[in-house]
Amino acid sequence: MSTREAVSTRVFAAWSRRWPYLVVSAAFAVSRLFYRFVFDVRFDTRPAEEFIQYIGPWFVEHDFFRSLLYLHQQPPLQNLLTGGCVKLFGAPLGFEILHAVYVGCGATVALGIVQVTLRLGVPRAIAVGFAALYAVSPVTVFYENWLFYHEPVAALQVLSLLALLRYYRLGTFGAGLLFFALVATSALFYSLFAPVLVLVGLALFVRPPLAADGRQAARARLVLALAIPLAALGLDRARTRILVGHDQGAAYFWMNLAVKTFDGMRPGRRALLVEGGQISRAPELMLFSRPLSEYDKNLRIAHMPTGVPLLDLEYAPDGSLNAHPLEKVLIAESFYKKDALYLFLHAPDAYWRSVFEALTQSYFHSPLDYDKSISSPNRDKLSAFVEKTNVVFLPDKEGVQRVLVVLLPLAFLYGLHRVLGARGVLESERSTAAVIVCMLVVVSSVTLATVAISFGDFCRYRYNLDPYSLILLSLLATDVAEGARRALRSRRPTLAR
Amino acid sequence: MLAPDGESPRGNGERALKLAGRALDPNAPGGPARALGQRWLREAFVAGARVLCRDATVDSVETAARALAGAPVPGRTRRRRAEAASTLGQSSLPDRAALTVAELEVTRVLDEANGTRRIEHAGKRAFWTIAALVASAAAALILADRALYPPWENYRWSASSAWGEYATSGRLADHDGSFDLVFHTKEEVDPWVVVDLRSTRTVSEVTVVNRADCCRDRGLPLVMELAGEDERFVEVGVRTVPFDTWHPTFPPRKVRYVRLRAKGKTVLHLRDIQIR
Repeated sequence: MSTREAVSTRVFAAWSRRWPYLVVSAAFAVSRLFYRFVFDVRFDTRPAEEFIQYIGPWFVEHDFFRSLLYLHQQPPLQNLLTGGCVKLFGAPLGFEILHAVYVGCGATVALGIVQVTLRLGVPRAIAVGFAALYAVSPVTVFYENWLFYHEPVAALQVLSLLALLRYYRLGTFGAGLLFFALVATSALFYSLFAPVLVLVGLALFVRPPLAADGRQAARARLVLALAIPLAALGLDRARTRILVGHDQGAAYFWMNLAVKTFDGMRPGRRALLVEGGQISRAPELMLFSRPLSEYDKNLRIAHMPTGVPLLDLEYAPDGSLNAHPLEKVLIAESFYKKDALYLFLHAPDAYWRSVFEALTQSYFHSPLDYDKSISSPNRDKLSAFVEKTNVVFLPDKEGVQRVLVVLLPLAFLYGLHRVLGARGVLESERSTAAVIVCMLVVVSSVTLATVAISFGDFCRYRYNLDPYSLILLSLLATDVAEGARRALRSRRPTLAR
Repeated sequence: MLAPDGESPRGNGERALKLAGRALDPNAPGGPARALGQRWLREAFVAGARVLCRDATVDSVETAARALAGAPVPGRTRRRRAEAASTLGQSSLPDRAALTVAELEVTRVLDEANGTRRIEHAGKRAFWTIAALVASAAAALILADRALYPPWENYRWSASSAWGEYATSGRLADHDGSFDLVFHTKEEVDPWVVVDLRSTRTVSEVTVVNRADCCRDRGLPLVMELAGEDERFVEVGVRTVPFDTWHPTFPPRKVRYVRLRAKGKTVLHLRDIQIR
């Protein structure tokens, strides 16, 4: 072979290995320019100033680390990332850096989907097709330009799948630790992932990665690798319990449950319960986004100052509303909890109606259909375009995307079939089965938890599950393509006859 | 030889199958090794055929295929085995999908040789799990839909008059006004409400739920009347004393309209009318 031939062979080999990544990277880059220059989509940092999940700007500037330590309804990482950048680099530059981080997260998700699907045996064309569609979707671009926890969590989820594949390739303690640490990091951004960590650990325990020293040792390593991130999550929970005196997220939980059931009732029935004194007026109000002055005097709970501005001040000294005063936790504990339990026991139909509607309707809306009362310039800019692109999902007049009503359950059932069925027995499917199990656990637990607890925005929560559904669908598409190819081949006449 | 001295062909087959699986795993270090996987699958196939056919002379994919072809098995199994033998016997490298099919078939052969039923059990397990999940999800959705959204909620009503913010007609599901009421007439002589079931249905029970916060003595005596398409109302019950819920008893009958009529000058307002 001549030098020229050798070089061209090497170039071809390198190209055939890398073209999926290059094509998806190009689609990612071109689509970002398209959305930036055609729709003027810009990084929306307003959530950091307006959303209840964030420590207010005054606290970030003057009392950041103490506020972070005493933050009681959220795991700390989203605030650490946002506040940390702003604190370190100042307001305009910090947000520019965050924008770069978010674009990096978007690229990680798109390229991660390619890598995961290829590692699961999906042909390159299918892997690239699915990842590119995901990368150029206006929904993906919207979330990438929204300073909220969804995009970092999406990146961590895809990275955790890559880490899981690595764990099943190497079978070492370190690889297992990396995987569980990534899931735990997701949970430190988004609390719903905390149970996922335990559930995934239990599921993988059934069929751990191969180890030269036997299955027992593999399981022991898995448990140890799980225990460390689990302990880290436990410490974070203990922090809130010890410093604030209440469980992390408990006030959100009770408020959500009370409002969810209350909203599911007829207005007249609600009024009767409030006027009859069976429940308080609290469920009429959204605790964390409302000033305490909107609460009746009998709903207010005085407490001794704690000395921590985040817990003591209703308004920050700059006049902005603080979402995290301790009094709100006390109100949740005294009123929302009682009301939620009363409503759950005495109006179970209203609760189950909310769950039913969440699961059969809101869940299947576009992820851009979250709370319309929240203003979002990017959503406004993209709305006309999204309306056109959404046509492929055949939405009904309520916004339920009929194609997703079929595809999402189908992806889930296909995953189950692949894990439990004949192929799940094969040794060559060990890694694939582990990844599918992980995805099924995440999809089912996050879906059930959100529809059971939250009172809205189910399509927004689904955004973080869509990459997993997409990966499952790419596996299904691979099987369908292979089946079609085999069927065609078997029908083709042969010379042998 | 593949296994340590003294190990049975069964053990050989299982070990070879495991090694084939590891080689064919798309997540294997360095990517799947199809050639290696094919070789291990051949070993497993031959070992399985040797045990299954009790023929120690089987020593290649071709002889294994010939030996297995003579076994009394259903045609489908024979075709699958022939396809696997063809994949394993071919000199060119088969694609991954063909190797997966071959791996499945070799596992079946070894299952049969070893008296185990991994593939068959897994297939059944998957089928029944998915069937149970789909059936229970469908049943839960249907039951929830029926329990949470009873059909009478879509029936339309019209009243003799409307007080304040209330309407003179609507659906039984709508409780948009205050006091959690479906309708609220003015004070008038013989106020009434008629519910249209939209088609003739067999009705065996009607439950009337009264206003909860006060005024339970209004709208009395209350007469319940039923009518078919001909709109000729027949009285089926009269309530003269205050009530929370009232369900008059009557034999099941074909009904299109349900009318509730108060006698005398009074106000009629009800919280629910449930028609079963």
